[in-house]
Amino acid sequence: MADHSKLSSPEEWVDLYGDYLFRYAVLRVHNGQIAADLVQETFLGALQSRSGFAGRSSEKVWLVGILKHKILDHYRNTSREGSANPLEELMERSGQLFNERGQWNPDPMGPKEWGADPITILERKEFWDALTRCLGEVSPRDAQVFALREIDGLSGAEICKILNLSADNAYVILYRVRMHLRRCLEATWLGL
Amino acid sequence: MLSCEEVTRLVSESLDRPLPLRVRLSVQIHLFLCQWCDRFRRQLLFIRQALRRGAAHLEDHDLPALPSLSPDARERMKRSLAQDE
Repeated sequence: MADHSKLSSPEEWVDLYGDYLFRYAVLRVHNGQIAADLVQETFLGALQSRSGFAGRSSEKVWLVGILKHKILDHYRNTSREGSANPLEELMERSGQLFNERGQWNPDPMGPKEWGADPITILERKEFWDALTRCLGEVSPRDAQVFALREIDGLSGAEICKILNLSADNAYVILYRVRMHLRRCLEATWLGL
Repeated sequence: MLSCEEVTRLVSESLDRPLPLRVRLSVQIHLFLCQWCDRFRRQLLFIRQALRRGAAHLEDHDLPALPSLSPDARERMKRSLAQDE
């Protein structure tokens, strides 16, 4: 039977888990407003299904499970918006990446030396701001593929199944997002 | 010899699935000789590492670098939870 005694009161959820769930969502949807809405829906969904909380997992794990479903629903609802792709335009606008022989055009497009340490990156607010902004420039579907692969570590085949993409599409999308993100971070975060 | 453009595609793909041995060797030779593509590869790995570290440290409340809920959003959530209960 459901064990309500293991649950905190819903009013406490916001203070106990709000930031955690919000960060979880914002890393995956790259938009603070959407992330806050998803967290709110998660709390409301949890409220309605409190009897389904079996007490087998912690309250937090249970809430994250609900949030994951909300994020996937959001992905499915927006993933069609990926068809007209702004990335190619973006690449053209920022100049030709490669010359006609397929070599980097070193100036200004060749990769610069970043000199940043991934270990200390967690403390750099500017990095996370730039990351969110740069991913916000990518179509929702492409950003979703990227998040599922790079944060959640799903395989290309799993991602195609979740987002209903044809096989192999994931690899092309990941390439485009990485090309954009790399250049965008270099320009906006490091100012190179 | 592979071009830089081809190598960037293959480097990206190698982060998602194993490349055939012969292709992998050609890429490695190119990376050994080309500082641009070698940087490119290190930067992609950097981005992945940063994201995964960020995702693993969501609970660090003293990490101001990661975004938090705004006071407004908190209030809104508390109100709607109180209403629905």
